Amino acid sequence: MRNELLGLALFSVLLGGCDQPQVQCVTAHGGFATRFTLKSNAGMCLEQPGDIVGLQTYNPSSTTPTNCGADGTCFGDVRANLDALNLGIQASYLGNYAYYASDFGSFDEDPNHHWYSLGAFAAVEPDDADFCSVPAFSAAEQVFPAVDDGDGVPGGEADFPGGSIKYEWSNTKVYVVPAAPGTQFTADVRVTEDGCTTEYSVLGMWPPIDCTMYDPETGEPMLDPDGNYMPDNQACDPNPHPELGFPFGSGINPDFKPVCDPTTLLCMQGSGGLVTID
Amino acid sequence: MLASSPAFAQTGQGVVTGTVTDAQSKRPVANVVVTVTSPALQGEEIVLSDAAGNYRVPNLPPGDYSVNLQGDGFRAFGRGGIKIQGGATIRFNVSLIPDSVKAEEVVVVGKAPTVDVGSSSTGATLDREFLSRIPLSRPTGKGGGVRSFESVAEVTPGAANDAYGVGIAGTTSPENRYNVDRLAVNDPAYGVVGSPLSVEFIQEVSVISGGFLPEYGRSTGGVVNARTKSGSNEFHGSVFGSITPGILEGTREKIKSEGSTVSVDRELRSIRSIGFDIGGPILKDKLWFYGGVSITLTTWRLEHYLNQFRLNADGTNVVDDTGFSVADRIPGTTKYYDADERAFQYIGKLTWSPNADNSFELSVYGTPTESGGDGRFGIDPQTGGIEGGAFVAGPYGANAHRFVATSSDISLSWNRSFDKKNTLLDVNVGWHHQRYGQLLPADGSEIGTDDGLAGTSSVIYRRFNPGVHTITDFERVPAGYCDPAGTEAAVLCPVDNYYAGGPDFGADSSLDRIQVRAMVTNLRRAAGAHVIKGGIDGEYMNYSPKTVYSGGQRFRENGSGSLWVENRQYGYLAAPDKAVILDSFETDNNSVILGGFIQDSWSILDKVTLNAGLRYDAQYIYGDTGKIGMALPNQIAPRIGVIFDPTQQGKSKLFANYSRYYEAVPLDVANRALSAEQQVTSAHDASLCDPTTVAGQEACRTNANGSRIPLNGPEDPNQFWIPTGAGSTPIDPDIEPQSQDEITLGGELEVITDGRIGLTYTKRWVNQIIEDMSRDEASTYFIGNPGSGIASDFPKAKRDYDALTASFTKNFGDRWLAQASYTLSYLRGNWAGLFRPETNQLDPNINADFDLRSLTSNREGPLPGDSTHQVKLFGAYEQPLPKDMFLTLGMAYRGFSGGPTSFLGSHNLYGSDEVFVLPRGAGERLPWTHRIDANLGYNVRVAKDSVVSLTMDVFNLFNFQEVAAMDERYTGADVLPIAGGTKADLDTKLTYDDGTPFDPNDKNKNFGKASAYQAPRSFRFGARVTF
Repeated sequence: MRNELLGLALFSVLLGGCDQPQVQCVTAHGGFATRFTLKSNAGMCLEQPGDIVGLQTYNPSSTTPTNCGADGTCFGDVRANLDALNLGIQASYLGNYAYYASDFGSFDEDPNHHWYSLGAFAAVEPDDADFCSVPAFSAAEQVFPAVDDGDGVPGGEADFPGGSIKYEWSNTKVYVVPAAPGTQFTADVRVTEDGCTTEYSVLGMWPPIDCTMYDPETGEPMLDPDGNYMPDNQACDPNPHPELGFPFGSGINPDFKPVCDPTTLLCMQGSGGLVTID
Repeated sequence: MLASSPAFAQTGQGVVTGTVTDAQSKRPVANVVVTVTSPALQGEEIVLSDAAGNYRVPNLPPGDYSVNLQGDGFRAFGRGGIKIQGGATIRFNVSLIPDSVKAEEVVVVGKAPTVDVGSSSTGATLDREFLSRIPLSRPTGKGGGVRSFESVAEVTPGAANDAYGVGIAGTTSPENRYNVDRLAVNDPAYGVVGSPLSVEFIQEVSVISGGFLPEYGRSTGGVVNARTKSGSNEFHGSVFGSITPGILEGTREKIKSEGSTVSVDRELRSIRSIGFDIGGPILKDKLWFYGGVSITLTTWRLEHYLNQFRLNADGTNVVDDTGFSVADRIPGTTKYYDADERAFQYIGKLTWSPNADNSFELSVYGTPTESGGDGRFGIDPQTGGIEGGAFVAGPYGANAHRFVATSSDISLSWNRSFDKKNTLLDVNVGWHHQRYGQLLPADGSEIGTDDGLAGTSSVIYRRFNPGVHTITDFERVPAGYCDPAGTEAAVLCPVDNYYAGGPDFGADSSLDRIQVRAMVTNLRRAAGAHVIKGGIDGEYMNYSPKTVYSGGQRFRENGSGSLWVENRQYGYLAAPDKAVILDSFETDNNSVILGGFIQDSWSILDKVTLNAGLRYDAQYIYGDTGKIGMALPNQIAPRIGVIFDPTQQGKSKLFANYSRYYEAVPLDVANRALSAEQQVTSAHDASLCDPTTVAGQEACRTNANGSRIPLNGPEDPNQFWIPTGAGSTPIDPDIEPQSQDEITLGGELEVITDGRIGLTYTKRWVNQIIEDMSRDEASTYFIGNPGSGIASDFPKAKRDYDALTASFTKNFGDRWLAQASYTLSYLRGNWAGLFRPETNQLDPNINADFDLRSLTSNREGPLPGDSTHQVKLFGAYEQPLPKDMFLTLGMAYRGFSGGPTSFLGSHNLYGSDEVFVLPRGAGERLPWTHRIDANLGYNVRVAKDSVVSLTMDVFNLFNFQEVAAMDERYTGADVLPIAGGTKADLDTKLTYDDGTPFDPNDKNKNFGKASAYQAPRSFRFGARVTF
């Protein structure tokens, strides 16, 4: 290993190797603010304007661990295989649906059904256009059985009628450059809820910042004359403005020039699209 | 005293040059035979003066020389006692008296000058005379016990001790280059000194604080060159021992602080050292040896006891006049511990000179050091800090550690001369190896295993809601004291943090450096004399740390006591919620630096010397993935200096110098930022998980009782686990290497025999630095240059140093020596260097300074090392007594004007002391500190070359207890900086991080009060026999 390195170093010097290493494929931890742009609506399905979508990368183990506990937690010295990278993706909408169902005691017990979708990155380094692509994913699917609370009133208040939801993600591309590593993505998704299917193209930006306008006196959300929540672009500003009640910046990359999306009340790229950085 | 090796001629070789004139006619005299002899030189060097009367004798190892001149028709003339220090050019002009003249008719000019007319470098050279006669290396503190060679560098004008060594010319100690016999012994991971070899085995330490020639690189601080002793044709050696008894320490000023349930008082018991060295011939004139060993044992006593808070009738704490809560000692709770360090040092050296043109030297030396274990606490070798501070609450096994710091070095050098010694080849090959075992389990168990403490997780109790634990939850106290066990909110004996279980974080690292240098020196005459040097210098570094959390993870109580959070454990997620926990995390980090240089020291008509050259280095850093992590090529460092001797007698010089220096990036950055450290966190319901026993810990971690609870939101593919560590930190594609520029101007004048005065001005400033930064408030990080490239919205790093030094140096002669300097300096900026003095964070190039844009406000101002006035006086005198006895007296005075202080607050993400509430340096300056040290020696010459000496060093003779540091924490609350604010703004403009006005009750009661005093008086008694 060391000899190889020495050789490599000599080689790189001889070649006048001045280039920094290629950045590795990565995604920011936690949820992304997303805007869903409708591509098709099979019927009179409910449309989603956007959501908070979680992305998480996984390096599989280099060999299969053998010393594992009851919940699948494994121990030992099996290092991760850094030459393979998978992406998990999960919509809050699905997670919240599951939380809601669980409040009624309704759970999907099928071990093959997950809240998340999982797919493999095409490569562990970005392509020439600085994108890390995941062409295909497993489906995220939950089928919640109906729950009757036994009060004899069918469809009564505490009864859960059952339902199903399925997310099929595809064509996911995460933008990775040193100045903005894994903080934006685009994807396509097909959402089937209780048999009704919509398809969207998705733009994601990280982190998800709530930009609802709040009354500085009461701390309550402010409403416009139509009774809607109002957007506050100041909440998206990467620079702090203590005098306006924002002692810290939003935590969003300043190059994204973020503005408040009035529909989702989440900060999104000011350009309305993915921002590339030269 | 051991003589220098006859053969080791190339290391810091000096030059004697001069002009021979006719004392009567004042004309130059040609063909005078100039013979140079010295105990440091095998045989003698002979040259002839040229038509202009000039002569030049190069390649002289440091030592005391005699020069003899014999010219046809002139009286022979000789002069001894010419001192040549490493690398110096000494001008020795001589007027010869014609045979025809009667002696009394002319006055012979032929003194031995000491001004180095060939160099535009600044610094100090500390020879054996200085090292043995001046009280140096205060016994307590980093490197003091073993009297490590780099600790004496603080003598240099403008240098000052910092937490990790000696900072030179406004820089921090990890920026220095530490060379022993020409090869670097810096710690490959952190840049600090890696082989703290004792001065007992050192012949000479030279500190170059500025203007270094291209042959020296990879340092933005200074260069500390140590040359080990060598054997000679006579057997010489010494046996030495010393003791620093703790009982004779001066009274320490007590630091007032908030009362605490657990207290630890520390005092020095003793430092004992014993050793010997010996050198001599194996084959006379051919093969010599030198060897030595020493053992140094340091012991501190820790007195550990419990206290109970004193309460008013209304249940509030009784406070003293400074506002601190008062706590009274509980009888019968005192326990005593020792903290100790066992330092062993060895050196062995062979010097072989098969013929006049070749010499070889093989050195092996090492400094194995251990500390702590078996009921004792440890002493961190990196800082000299003693474990078991006042805040430690918990049992021995969770809070005490072992440290192992072993260095072993082997170096081989070959010197070859060609062409009547006009061309020299100098080849050095060396291997520096270190093991640094940090915070290892005190019971000797091996980290990463299931054995003993290594297999036991740390358990940290830190409940604060509704109240904190009482000590009786964990320890027995005498009846009638403290809140009963199980109290929800303790008031009598509260403990905020209690550390139980195993020893938590530990690391065992292997560090290596293999260095190969080759240098050719060519002496030629072309429009003056040239010393042309060219060389190549390659260096491979490896840093392989194995880091662990004992037991595999840490269990930390949450604020309400309802959860045990596994908030530290190495591991990764192989798939959603599928965690793989690693027993240890091991990385393999590497760096290659390749460089070369060329320089010419051109002495034009022996009036002006021009030093010009260029150095090139390229560094490539590889993280654990084996792929290149950071490329730092094209480090082109020009160095140019000019020296003029107005007297043309070697008695004066004026010089000017410009240099650029580049940093060799230590490998900590590769491990921390480029090697994808992975950790995972999960949490357990405290009613189902009991980590107080090893079996309970095992049940928690394997989720045997279903204690693991979901943590994450509806969007997270993981519900039970949080992965932390985002893989390799990206590098700005346009990153530039870290560099610094320097201008020095100065002059020296010989005023008495062996004595000279000097005046030097130094200016240094940084060009680019390398740091990690986040543009989105800690969301994502990258490594780049603040103020440039993708970090252009960060402020540029600034560290401006301006210093004026006046000095007087008198080499040992006529029974006395002296070195005096006064430095007026100005150090301003927003970046201190490779560590952060405010927090002592040592993560070179990834410190927190520039991490967030919200951290950068108010950072510019006087830096911690800004001590405007520095006075250093060193002197030694020898008084003969009857009957072959003599007394030696050495004195040292150091006076420093106080450094700046600041108003610090807490940052909502980065925690305590990370916010500069007001601009840096807005606080009161610390007071002046003065220290007088003395060395008294009584010596008896028992045989021709044998002396018995009894010595006494007294450090801080008058036990001055001036404030050395002040509490700069204005508040422990999360606050916003008042950009450009003044003290008057604190009452009106200071706000919490949510923008609400600051409540003055949250001000730290101890702010602006002393947090450290000067180290007290201590004595070191020594005995030595030299033969």
